[in-house]
Amino acid sequence: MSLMRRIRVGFTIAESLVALSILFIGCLFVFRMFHLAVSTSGTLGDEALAAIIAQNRMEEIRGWAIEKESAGINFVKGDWTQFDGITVADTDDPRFRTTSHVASYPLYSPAKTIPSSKILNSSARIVKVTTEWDSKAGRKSFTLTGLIGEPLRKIKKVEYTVTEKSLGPDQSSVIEAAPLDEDLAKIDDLTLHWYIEPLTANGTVSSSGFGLRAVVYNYYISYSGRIFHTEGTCNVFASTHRQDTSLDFIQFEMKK
Amino acid sequence: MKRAARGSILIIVLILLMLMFVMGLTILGMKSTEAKSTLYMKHAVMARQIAISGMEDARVKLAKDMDFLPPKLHVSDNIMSYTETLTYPGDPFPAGEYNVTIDRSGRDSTIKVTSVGISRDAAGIILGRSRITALLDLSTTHRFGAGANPYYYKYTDWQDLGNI
Repeated sequence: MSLMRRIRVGFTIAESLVALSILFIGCLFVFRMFHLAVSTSGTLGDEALAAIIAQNRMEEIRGWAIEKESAGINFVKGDWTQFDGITVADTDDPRFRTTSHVASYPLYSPAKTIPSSKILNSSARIVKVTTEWDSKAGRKSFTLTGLIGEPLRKIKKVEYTVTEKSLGPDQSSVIEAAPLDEDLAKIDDLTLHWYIEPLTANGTVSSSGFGLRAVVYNYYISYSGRIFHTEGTCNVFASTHRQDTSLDFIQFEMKK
Repeated sequence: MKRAARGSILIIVLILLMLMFVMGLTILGMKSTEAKSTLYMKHAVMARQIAISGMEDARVKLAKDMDFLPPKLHVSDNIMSYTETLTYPGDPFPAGEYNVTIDRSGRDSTIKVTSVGISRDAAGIILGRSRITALLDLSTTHRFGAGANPYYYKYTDWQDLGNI
C-alpha cells in the first residue's frame, strides 16, 4: 500500500516536471512571438517615417523649382546640382539619410505611344528621392520618384532671324525664331504656328515640328491648285495658342 | 480524491499554453495587418507622386504644345486620355505609370485634368493607386477683379482623391 502511495506521489512529480517543461517551451514560443511583434512595430514605424521624410524632401524640391528668384524661375536658372547626388540627414532623426537625384526628362507630346510625337526635352525634370536607414534586419530604403514640370513663363517676344525680306518669284526665305520670356531667356520646347497676313501681296509659309524654323515662299496656291505670284507686301507672324502675348510680325516684300 | 487530481496540472498547463498560443497568434495577425497597412501606405505615397507627375506632364504639354490636343472633329470630342510610364534614367524598373484624362467640355476657360498614378510591386501587382483632379485655368483676365489672371495656366480646385 505504502509502495503504491510512493508510486502515485512520484508520478505526480514527474507529471509536474513534464508540465513545467511544456510550459517553459510554450512560454519561449510565446515570448518569441511577443518579441517579434515589438520589433516589427519599430520596423513598421521606421518604414512609415521614411516614406514621410522622402515625401517632404520631394515637396521641398518641388517648391524650390517653382520659386522665382532674382535670376528667374529656379526651374530654368536655379542650381539643380544642390539636389543631385546630395545626401541630407533628417534633422529630427539623423538615422534617416535622404539622397536625391535629378535628371532631365523628355516628355512625348501627345504620348510616347504615338510615333509622330514631339519630344519636349527641357520642360520637365525627374527627381528620385531615396531615404535610407539602419534597422535590425539590415539597411533599408524607401524610394520616391516624381516629375517636376516647368512653370509657365510668359512670352515677352519672339526674336526673328530672317535671311531675306525681299523675294523674287518662287524665291524663299528662312526665318529662325526664338521665343523669349520676361527675363529674355529662351523658352525651349514651345510650339509656334506660322501665318501670313496678306496686305497687297500674298505668299506661303511652312514649318514643322516646334515651328522654330519657317520658310516663306513667294507664291501661293489657290484652292483650285493654281499657283499665283503677286507683287507688294505681306506680314508673316508666329503665334502660340496662349493668349497672354501678342507677337510681332515680319513684313515681306514680294516681287513678280 | 487523489485519483481525481492526477493529471490536472498538465491539463491546466495545456489550457494556459493554448491561451498564450492564441494570444500570440492574435498579436502576430495584428502585426501582419499592420505590415500590410504600412506596405499599402508606402505605395499610396508613391502612387500620389506619380499622379502628381501626370498632372505636371499634362500642364506642361498644354502650355507648350499647341498640337497636343487633337482638333475637335465633333462638338462632343472633349475627352482625351493617355498613359505614360515613369522611369528614372538608368533604373531597371519603372517607378509606376500615370493615366491622364483631359476634359475640355468646360465652358469657363478651364480644362479638367485627372491623373491616376499607379504603383506596383516587383511582381507587377498594383499596390497603390492615387487619383488627383484639378481645373487648369486658361482665362487671361482676372476672374474676380481687374488685371491679369494670376492663376493663368495654373491648377485650381485641386482635389486629391487619395488612394483608390
